[in-house]
Amino acid sequence: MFGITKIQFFNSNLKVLSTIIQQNGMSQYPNYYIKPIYKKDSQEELIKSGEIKKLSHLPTRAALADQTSSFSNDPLANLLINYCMREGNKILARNLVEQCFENIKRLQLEKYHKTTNEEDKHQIDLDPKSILHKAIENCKPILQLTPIKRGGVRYQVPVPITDKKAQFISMKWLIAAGQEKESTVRFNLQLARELIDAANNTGRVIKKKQDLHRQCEANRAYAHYRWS
Amino acid sequence: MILRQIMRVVHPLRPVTLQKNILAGINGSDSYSTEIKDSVPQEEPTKKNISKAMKAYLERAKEHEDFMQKQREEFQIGKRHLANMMGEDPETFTQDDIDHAIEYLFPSGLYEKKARPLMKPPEEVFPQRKAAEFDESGRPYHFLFYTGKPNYYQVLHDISHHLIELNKFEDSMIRKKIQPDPNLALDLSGYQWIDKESLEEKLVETIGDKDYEYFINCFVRLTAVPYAYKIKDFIFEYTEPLLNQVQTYDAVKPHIDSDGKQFITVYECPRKAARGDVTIRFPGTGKITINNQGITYFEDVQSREQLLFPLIFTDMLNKVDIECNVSGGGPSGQAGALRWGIAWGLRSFVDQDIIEKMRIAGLLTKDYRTRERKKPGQWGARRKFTWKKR
Amino acid sequence: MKIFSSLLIISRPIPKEPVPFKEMLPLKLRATVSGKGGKSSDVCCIHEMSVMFACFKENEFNQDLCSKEVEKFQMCYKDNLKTSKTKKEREAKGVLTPGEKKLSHKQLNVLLKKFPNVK
Repeated sequence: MFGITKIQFFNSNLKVLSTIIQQNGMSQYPNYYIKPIYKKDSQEELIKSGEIKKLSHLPTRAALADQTSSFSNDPLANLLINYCMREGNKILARNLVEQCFENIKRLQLEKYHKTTNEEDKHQIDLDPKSILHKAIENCKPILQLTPIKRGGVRYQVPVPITDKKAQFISMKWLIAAGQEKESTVRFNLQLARELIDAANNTGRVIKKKQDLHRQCEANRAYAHYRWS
Repeated sequence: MILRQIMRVVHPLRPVTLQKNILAGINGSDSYSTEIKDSVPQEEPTKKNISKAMKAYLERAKEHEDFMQKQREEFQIGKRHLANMMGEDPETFTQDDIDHAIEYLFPSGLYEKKARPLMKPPEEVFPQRKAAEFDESGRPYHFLFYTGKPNYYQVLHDISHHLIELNKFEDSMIRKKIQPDPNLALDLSGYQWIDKESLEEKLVETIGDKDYEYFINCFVRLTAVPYAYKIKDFIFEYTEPLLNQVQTYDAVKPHIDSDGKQFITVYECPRKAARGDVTIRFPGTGKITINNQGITYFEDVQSREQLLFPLIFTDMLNKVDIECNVSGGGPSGQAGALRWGIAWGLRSFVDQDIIEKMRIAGLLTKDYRTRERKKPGQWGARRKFTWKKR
Repeated sequence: MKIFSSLLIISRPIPKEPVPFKEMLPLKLRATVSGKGGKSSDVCCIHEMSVMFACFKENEFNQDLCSKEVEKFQMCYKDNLKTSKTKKEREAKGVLTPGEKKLSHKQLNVLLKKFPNVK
């Protein structure tokens, strides 16, 4: 783009730079372009730690269309919008998620005003974004079952899971739970209810996660065998 | 030791004939004998020892050197003629001037820049070759000639020598209980190691991938030593500077319009199929006009947020006026084009460190991504038809 | 008819034990190992997993009470990923590390080249 045809990085820094440079074979950018850091506080953290020096010699990708430095922009909320989106209808997906957050606020406020006890009032979280974060965190499974074929039989073996995959699964489950509803109820309302329940460690999605863990525990014998 | 000192004086790339008496000393003739012998003339046996292969090799080396010399003279003469043609002073005619002159006199429409007419010094045009590596008697000049890659192994030899010296120095400093000065420490953050092709050019030798890797590992080990700053020059010979991003963002000075306000216009703002231009006026009140409409030109909130992103990031939200025109593409493409235009224009009203921060935030990179084309035999760009075994 | 005729004409003699050994190919081992053959799946963190499951069973799958075990398990998996990645890079190049028990075919070939068969 700016006259760069080839860049090599010396081995001593590769360990550090590998955390910054994402290897993506399908991207239209060359792989040494780093992802942008568009939030002001994240940039300030880097300046404090001194890591910003390494970035000054690396070209950056352009910020995406849903990224802004505004306080209201949340990367997890953006992910949720993308997972809700069907056939590229970003506007509808964003409206749904924003309505969902509004519903969360309303439901929590209702609860807040109903409780008379001061202690209980402090317990109630009124911020939809923090509820979303908590819900996703609580629904993350620790293991997954992978089918491994041995001797003609497919066994479901429990296998550890990476953090990104766990987050993806948790969000997919939450959205699927939001879609399992009566026809009279709106998706954004159902999703709001699911998120609040998950943030309180109750509800359908938490049950689904625990069922998965139970199955993994039941199948733990298969993991014990040394597969060769 | 004497041999090594002599070999150090001799440059590997330039042929030098050793004096006869030194040769005699090395060959060990007649220095310690007590008997008086007839002095044997040194030249005859050396002449007999030259084989045809060696002769041909020495001839080739001499030919190349003569050829290069002739090319250099021709280049100098040609340069002076060119300067006269262009009406410039031949004494102060630089390589840049030559390039401009050739571009002017021989305009070329070829896309490949290397295929266009050029006039460069012969060192850049013709591949470098080594001069005669051994003298008439067949004795090589470089002490590492028999490795096959004397210049490569010379560098490795130098690295090991420096390592030993620096370790000794470090030991002596530890004995004196002196710590290395952290301010003087070697900073290689803006540099990368020389790549294989450039190294091959520099050494005038072909080296394999493993040799190159080993070379880099040796240098990394050398730079890890605390007192590496003492041999800074040696290390920097084999580094190349990484692209300095800040230099690519030299902001244009804003113009001044009839009201006395500063303004700047950014033309050709691209994003997918959208093309726009943005005018920023400073000082302003935060008015935004797009195709003679307000920010409501964009119906969706995301596009509006994109327009405000650079303004919020630089804290210039209500301090500038923005007028834009945009056409082509869809809403997100148009918003992306204008976002880039606003960020590019704001550079002129903002400090250098904030420009650097904008760059890291991804505001100043032109998004050249386009929709990937559909391929024949597939549903879309990536999705394939159902795979059927038969 | 065909069968009767085959009884008479013994074109191929029936082998008598012991069968004499015939050297068809030279009795030499190749100096390389092929890269074919199935790769072993990465099995790791089983001890941590069983400890975690024991804790889960006690606390009826309440994750909050088992946070230590869960963290140990996840850290074990992360470390394993890192080491396996570096190991794979080294194996692909054929670089040898001292004390390694399981070698890839490339690493073995490097060793075999260094210590070839005596001719």
